[in-house]
Amino acid sequence: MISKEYTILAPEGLHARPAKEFLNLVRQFKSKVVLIKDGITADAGSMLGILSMQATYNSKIILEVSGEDEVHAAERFDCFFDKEIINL
Amino acid sequence: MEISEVLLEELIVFDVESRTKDRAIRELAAKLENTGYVTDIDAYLAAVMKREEISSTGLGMGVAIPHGKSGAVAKACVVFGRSRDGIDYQSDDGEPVYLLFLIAAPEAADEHLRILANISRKLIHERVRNELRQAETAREVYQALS
Repeated sequence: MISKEYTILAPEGLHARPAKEFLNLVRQFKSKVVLIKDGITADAGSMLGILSMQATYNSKIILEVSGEDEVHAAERFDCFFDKEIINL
Repeated sequence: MEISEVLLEELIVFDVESRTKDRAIRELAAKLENTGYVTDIDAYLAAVMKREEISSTGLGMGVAIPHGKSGAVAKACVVFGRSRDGIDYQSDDGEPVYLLFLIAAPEAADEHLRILANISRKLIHERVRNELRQAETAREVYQALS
């Protein structure tokens, strides 16, 4: 399992287009992806799970990725949360 | 925040008649007329539809949470609509929508995200969705969401 914390850099938060793009990414991998924020966990494999996090701009969120392609998936999420999300 | 604080009993529609997304949203928004929560329904609806263009708020699992923040909203509120036959909503999973939560929020702050997160957290559970689909009274709706 790979665990990593990110700061949400999208001005509108992990919501609307950023949330949809994130969900599309999660679905590309076999690994299970769990979100943790303020002690609450949610499955990143559903939009309800992602939106339940209330991940607003500048908030911190932990991603736990586990499965056979977790290394590849975690690298992809790095790129998403560090760079791509800013322009969505 | 408790959902009952923003979802008033008179804002529950047990039988949404519309079968398409746009009509269903308008049907629910009509409940906000003369409530004092929204001063200009058309301006508020424009914000909801604009948000819908970015990505469908049909979130899968038979659930849609359309929302808009607008200066035409005086105070945050939620209209709950339940469809017995299902609404063609262009949802994420292609399935019809049976449970709709229409959020109206003032322009400022992230209040709509807070309400959205709150409702999402409940609807993740299949039990809650089933109870809402079967609810016959406002009390049952509140119990399912509590």
